[in-house]
Amino acid sequence: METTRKLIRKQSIEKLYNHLSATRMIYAPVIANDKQVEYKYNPGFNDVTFEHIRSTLSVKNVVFPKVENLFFYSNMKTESTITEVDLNKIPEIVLWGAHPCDNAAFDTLRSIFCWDINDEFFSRRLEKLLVIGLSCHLSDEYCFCTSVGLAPDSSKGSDILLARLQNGDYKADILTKKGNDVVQSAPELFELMSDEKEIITSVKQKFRHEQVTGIRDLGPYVSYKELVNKSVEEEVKNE
Amino acid sequence: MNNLINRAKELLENKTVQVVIGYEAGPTGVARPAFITDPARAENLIFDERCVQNLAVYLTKTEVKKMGKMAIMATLPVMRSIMMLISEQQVFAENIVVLGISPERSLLDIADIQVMQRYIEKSDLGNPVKDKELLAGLNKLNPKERFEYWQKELSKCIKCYACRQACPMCYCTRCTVEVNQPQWIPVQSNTHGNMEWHILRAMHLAGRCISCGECGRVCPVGIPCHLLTMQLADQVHNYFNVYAGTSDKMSSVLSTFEPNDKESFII
Repeated sequence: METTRKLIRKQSIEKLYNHLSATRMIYAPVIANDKQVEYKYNPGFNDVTFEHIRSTLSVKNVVFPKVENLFFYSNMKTESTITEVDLNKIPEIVLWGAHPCDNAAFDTLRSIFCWDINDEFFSRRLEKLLVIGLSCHLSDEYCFCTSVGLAPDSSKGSDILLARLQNGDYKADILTKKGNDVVQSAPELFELMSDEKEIITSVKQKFRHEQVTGIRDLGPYVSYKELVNKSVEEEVKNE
Repeated sequence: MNNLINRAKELLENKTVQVVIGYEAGPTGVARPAFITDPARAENLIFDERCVQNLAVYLTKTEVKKMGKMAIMATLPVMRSIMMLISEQQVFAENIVVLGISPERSLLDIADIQVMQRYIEKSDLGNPVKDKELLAGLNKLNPKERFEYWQKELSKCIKCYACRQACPMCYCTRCTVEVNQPQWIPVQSNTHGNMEWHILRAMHLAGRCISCGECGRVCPVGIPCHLLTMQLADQVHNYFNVYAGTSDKMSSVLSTFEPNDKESFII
């Protein structure tokens, strides 16, 4: 899909949040009591942070929960029954305000979970996930997206990617059909883009990809499967 | 500080030890553990408020033991850990040189284990003040509220086992939670599974915890799990009048019987 660029006014951001949360669950970053950044389900808009750098735990939980029921069983003397979990009951979820480094990881996860057998639990969750990414206007010395082929504003994994503009409004890149459906459902919140500059942090490159993977000429992204194949090729070449 | 660097250099130069375990500044300014084997590098050693890790955890690691005889920078909690490890025969006194550091950050002259024992005995061995306050707060709650508090805290646990890895007293090469034939401890990281892990960890440290607070400090999700072991340290002191890590001849409180042990807690 061709990317379209829209403007979301400061005051429309909250409306967009409430519009989305009316029909779906929202998974968004909040600052907890101990100042740690955590993603939580359905926080109020005022609790959601737009100023976080990294969360304590990644957003992986939204597609691969820490604990989940795979099936239920009961054992009688001679008979046992197995009840499958109803995958249709997986809810639609909006991942709100996650940064490009987190969002880029969904593809990497997919290449593991769907390597040969499609993991239904994972792929259904991913199917029902809408990702509203947020480009980084803040970073610190521990950030390393530029060292692994990403950038503070890379759009990989997002359905809509927001970036803060200097006047506090947001630029919205509509990247997928899912993203476009959101625009269609609330067209009044998405206006024509102004020529205001966006604020994007700069992240220094710390290392080259080949230093950690031993693979030369790595493009901006390869799947894990390709990565393994490439590293095998490299090994053969070196021998 | 210069005294410490000179002492470390001297120990390495005259080959009394093969490695000095201390702190150095990392590239971003954070203090990290340093394993100095070259006398010329002894100048990298630092000690200031950034140096918080309990270095005694490295004394039992195979990779470090392989290096040879060790010298170790030791604040009070580190000295108590060393004492505890000696009493449990995990470390041998003749294999280590203790570079004691006083609360004023100056080098102490710890010639041998007896000197260290006397130094420990005259120090304050209770829990750190800020943890005492937290514990007092928790102990004011009724059992139901306290249980709810811990349920909420422990639900965050991701079972990364950083609390175990950072603890100098958790030195088993194969932890029972990693044994799955048979599976003693449930692996799932839900509140119930997490509680089981933390209760097990706390009980294993009853009478052995030296109140350094490392487990709570290293927890990536901020669970104050050091309060569990510190509470038990308090109780062991109340019931048995013993502080962990005070003597190299100490026997385990929970696995030895003394005729004058209190029995009031046995129902």
